[in-house]
Amino acid sequence: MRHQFKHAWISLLLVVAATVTGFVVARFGTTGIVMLYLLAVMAASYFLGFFAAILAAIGSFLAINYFFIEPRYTFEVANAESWAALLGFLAVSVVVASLVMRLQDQTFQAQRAKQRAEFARLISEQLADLHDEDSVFIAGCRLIHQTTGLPAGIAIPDMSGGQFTLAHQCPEGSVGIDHRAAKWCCQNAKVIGPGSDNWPEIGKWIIPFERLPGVFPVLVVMKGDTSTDDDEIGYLRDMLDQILTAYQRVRNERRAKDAERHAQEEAIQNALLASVSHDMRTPLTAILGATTTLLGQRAVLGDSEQVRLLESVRAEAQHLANTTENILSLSRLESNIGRDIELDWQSLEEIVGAVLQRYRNRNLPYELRSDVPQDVPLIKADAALLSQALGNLVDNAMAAHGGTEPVWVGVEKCGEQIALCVKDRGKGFPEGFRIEHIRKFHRMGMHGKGMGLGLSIVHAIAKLHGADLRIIHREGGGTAVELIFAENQTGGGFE
Amino acid sequence: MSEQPRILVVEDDREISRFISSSLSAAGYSPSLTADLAQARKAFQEKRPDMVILDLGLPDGDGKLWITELRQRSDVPVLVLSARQSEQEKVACLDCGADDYLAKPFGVDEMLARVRVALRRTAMMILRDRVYEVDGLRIDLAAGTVELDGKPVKLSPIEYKLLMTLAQYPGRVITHRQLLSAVWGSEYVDETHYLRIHMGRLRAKIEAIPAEPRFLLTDPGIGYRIAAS
Repeated sequence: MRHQFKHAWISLLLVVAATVTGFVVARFGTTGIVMLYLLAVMAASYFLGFFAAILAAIGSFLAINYFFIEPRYTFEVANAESWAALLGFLAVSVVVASLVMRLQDQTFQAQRAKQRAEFARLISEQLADLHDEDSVFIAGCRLIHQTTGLPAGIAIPDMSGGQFTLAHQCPEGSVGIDHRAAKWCCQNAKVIGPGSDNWPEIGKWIIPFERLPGVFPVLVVMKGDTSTDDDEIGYLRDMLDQILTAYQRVRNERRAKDAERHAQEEAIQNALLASVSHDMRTPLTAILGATTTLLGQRAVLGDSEQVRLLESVRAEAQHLANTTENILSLSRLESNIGRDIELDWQSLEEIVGAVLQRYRNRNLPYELRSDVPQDVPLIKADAALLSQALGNLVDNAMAAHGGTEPVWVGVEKCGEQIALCVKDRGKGFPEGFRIEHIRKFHRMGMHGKGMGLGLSIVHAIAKLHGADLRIIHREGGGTAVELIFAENQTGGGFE
Repeated sequence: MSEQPRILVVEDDREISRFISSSLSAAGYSPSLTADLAQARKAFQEKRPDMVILDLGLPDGDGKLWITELRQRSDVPVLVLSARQSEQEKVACLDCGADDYLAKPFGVDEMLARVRVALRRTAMMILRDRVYEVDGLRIDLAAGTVELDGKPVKLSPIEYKLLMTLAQYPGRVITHRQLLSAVWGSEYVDETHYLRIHMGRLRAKIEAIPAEPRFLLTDPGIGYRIAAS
């Protein structure tokens, strides 16, 4: 109201100023004077608002009549022409004031839209790098408080959706939860609070995180009173839209990750089942056959035949032991897929050395040799898992190998990447074989036992390490299987 | 009194203890069989064995507790047998004071090899000659010298300490924590990358092909040991 009075006085002063100037320029005729008054009306409408503009228009109308229309210094109007001119002035003043006001309003709206767009972009940028729901909630509450000065919090419902717990709130100001209102908000997926049709007197906004009814978090912004300001609500809505978008993005990312993990688990499970039946039944059949033969027909079997059967029992039991160990490993690995395992800096030279040591005392069908350069950097890995993967690759290579060359276990540096590789001169993998086929891969025309299971484990270990598993057909026959560690997994060199 | 080394076997599975007993007897040892910790404690007092082969999962308790108890009064070599495969379990056993760890299933040859190594270490300690000599590598613990094929090897203080720590227990796995604690101090027990770096340098000085070591052997995820033969 005080503003209105002030504006009224200023508009009257504008009329006085126009009158004084009118006397100065009176010799140029009434047209110039009318323009001066129009200028005063336009200034009043642009700077002081519509009410002041109308007051200036009426004041100008009276001042022109009194000071400049004959007979001067009276409010009498001599003729119809003068009346027409005066009324025309009044009408033009009102129209101009309206137009100026509309222009000003449009400018203001455009500026506000620009500000809101800029603000939305700013919030979106601040939320874009967040990758979990908690961070989005915390950042959202902080932004709301920074922008509106109102305390904000996120309330999370229990399983029934009846009780809410305040999970996150900005540190300034306390946020209260109204469980009944929050439940209604979720069930109806509608906003509650000032300026809305629902519970406008509640003194806070409760805004659902989803647009469909259900059980989900709600945003609570404390208002303190029931007054509404379009700007405040507008900004709040913009902010909430951004927070919701970020929340939905993060949630979808998490769901996609979960789905991927489930798919990986299922793939490993399938690999396990596919391999188990063959890799366990075959040696068990051989052991049962050999032992029953030995027990039942010992009298007719020669010594060499008995030894041969006993050797077969030993070999099959060893294979069964390896298979059991692999199955147990695979289940352990399966339970770790999608989780971060504890990795430490490891030396590939040591891992290669440990695997070679394991094979040293065995009666290997082929020679096993290493090729490790001296200055290989350390890599982030789990040493036991990596040794197991390398051992499985060596087992597979030994089973597939042929010729007189040794099987090679080595480390190769390719730029910033480091590859741990096993090379054989075996029959190679079937044409068109890809890593994705591992789960279906069950001795696809290959020699050797348990290769599918062994390779599944290598694949799972590679995944846990974020390493790539590559199968390369070697020139001149045979296969090179590589575990490739990316740049960010290597470092910590010997110097 | 028999000249054969006495070995106390603590294993509750009858089939397993039967084949362990047969194979130890056939290899020239004198085994005594017990099936739980109570019997084992009694037999240890009575028979004063030269070595203990101990299963972890026993009916009256965890074998690890007995290792700790045993270590307070005896340095007898302990070979642990267990079906528990995790590296943490192995490290826990070794940290308790076990000399070696054999995961089930295992072959007789492997078990006998471990028994030989453990008993040889005892023999070396009893003789107190304090000299490790295997395949041209000679470490004189008393004089503090290291020679490879008759030539002295120049080592940094850390490498020297590492090698001396390992050489005190030939064939025995020394866990990362034990090594870090012995060489750097107990506040460094989690800095396993120190070991990777310095063991790498030590291998480069001692081994002909560092990736195919003859002396400095790695047990991935557990620790290191120096070859006993």
